[in-house]
Amino acid sequence: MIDLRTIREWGEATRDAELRRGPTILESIRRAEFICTRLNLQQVHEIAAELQSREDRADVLQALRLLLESVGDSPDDDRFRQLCGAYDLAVRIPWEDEVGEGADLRMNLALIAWRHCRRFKTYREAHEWEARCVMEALSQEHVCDFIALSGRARSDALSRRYFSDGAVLVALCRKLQDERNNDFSWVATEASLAFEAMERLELPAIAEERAFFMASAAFSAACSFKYLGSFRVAKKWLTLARKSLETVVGSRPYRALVDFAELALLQEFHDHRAIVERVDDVRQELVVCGLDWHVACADLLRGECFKADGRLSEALVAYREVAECPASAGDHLLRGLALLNAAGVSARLDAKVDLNAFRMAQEVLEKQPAKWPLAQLQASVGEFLRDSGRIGAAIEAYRSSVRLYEDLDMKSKAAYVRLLLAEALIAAGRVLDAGAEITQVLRVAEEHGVAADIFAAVTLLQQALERVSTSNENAHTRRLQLLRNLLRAEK
Amino acid sequence: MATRCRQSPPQVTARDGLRAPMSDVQLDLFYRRVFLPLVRRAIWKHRLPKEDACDVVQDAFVLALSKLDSAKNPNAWLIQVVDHLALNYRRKTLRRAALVQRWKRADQLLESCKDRGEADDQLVD
Repeated sequence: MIDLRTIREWGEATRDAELRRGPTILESIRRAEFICTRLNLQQVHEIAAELQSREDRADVLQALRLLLESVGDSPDDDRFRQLCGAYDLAVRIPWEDEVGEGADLRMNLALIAWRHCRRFKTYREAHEWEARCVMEALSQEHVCDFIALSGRARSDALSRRYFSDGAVLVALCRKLQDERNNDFSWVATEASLAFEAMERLELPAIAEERAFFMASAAFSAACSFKYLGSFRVAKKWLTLARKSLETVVGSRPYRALVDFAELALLQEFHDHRAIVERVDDVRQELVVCGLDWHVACADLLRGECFKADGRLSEALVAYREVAECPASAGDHLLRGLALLNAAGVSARLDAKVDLNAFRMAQEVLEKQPAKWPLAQLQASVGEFLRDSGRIGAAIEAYRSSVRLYEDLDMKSKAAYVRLLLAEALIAAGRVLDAGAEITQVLRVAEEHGVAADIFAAVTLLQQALERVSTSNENAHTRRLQLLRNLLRAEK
Repeated sequence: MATRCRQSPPQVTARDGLRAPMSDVQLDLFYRRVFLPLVRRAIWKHRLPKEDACDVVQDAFVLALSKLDSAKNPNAWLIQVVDHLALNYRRKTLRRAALVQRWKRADQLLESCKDRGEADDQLVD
């Protein structure tokens, strides 16, 4: 514990210190009103230079924030410009405090601007203000501490205090968004808990804003459950996200995101026909809403559909376009996935293709934090090696992929690769090993109800059996028996 | 007070303040850097009247006397306590105002009933 004598001194100091008279709240508001009108007529740096020398500058700026609070509720452009000026002003004024007053003020001004842009302007503008709001929020230690705390460790009193602050929720939702492609086990839990807490505590108090944050948390939960292979749970969360968005003003871009996520989920159910039917409309909506990164993701999905339909050349063009598009220039995950898929398709188109294309994809994917693309890469390499007749190396690549997926708790994906592994083991004549792999797959299928994946996998195994030479009658009979057992267990 | 601080700005933090007795300058700095911003937080963020905001911050320091853990960040801790106390204060004020309203209405109802009773008595007479 700290020195009590010193803390007593704190107490004495604060009690005995004569409170500066300072301006009254009304006076501060009047001065803020005056500054507000000047923001339309004068350069911000001139006002800042003048305000810096004033003793009451902090009060005036706080009053300015209060005056501009309503900008978030109105599409008025003039008022929004005043708000931008006020933020600029708050950035230029030096703050001599140790409790983050300046950061808190800038955070709240950015929050109002974000609210305005989310409701009345473009996704891109809202995203820019969101970034500012998050930056200012995370520069305050107590906000960082709260966000770092697990949802289970937060008392209701603590959640009530922080969930009533929209800026803290902007920062929390952003963290969930940033981590959902990477640390999805954590996001699945935390996003679910955040959604539940907002619903139960009815916070933040503005119902429309609460609905937005709930939609955002539900969306993050859906993405992370998809990675974990719980597709039905993911679908449920997407439904909740869509429902929450019903009352949100300016929700068009966010509805487009949910539409896209539904398509991505259909891919996990191997329902390519449904994806083909909707992908162009969804992509167009993403284009209209300015969601460039997601447009590139939709193009990847389109490539997947071409591939599933056997239109490999078109798939290759789609993947290469994604790899070269501006959205993937600074995004190693997107570019790496596009390169990986292009390498896979090239290998199927041209048997002479070597592993260099995969190596290039690997180099890019290793620059980003998520580990699952590397598991996907190992599976693709395995497929390439199997198709080029290097079965032993293919088995190793598949095993490495299974290990990575299992480490990440992606049981469904691991099960899927296990079936490819089983296929390779059959091709190598190691039928018993293959049987063991398939048994493990069925166990996961029973535990997680990933029937759709199993159906797709069985189809794959059938194809594999067709590919395998039938010269060895005994081996062929054994493979057919394995497949029959698999289908029986599936029933 | 402010001029004196600008002329001699010793870099003291609230955390430093916990380690040694404060000089006048340090106390002044502490006042300007910790106490006043916290009071403004209570006023502008939690919409408390100025005097009440000072009371809330004062209460936060009293709490600090018994609860503050030097291992943690005192500034972050104080902000959380001020927010907690300010929210409680506001909740209490609102509840009290609602009760006063309800009592006022009950009184008015009682008054009107009394008046009506007296009028009825007059009619009976």
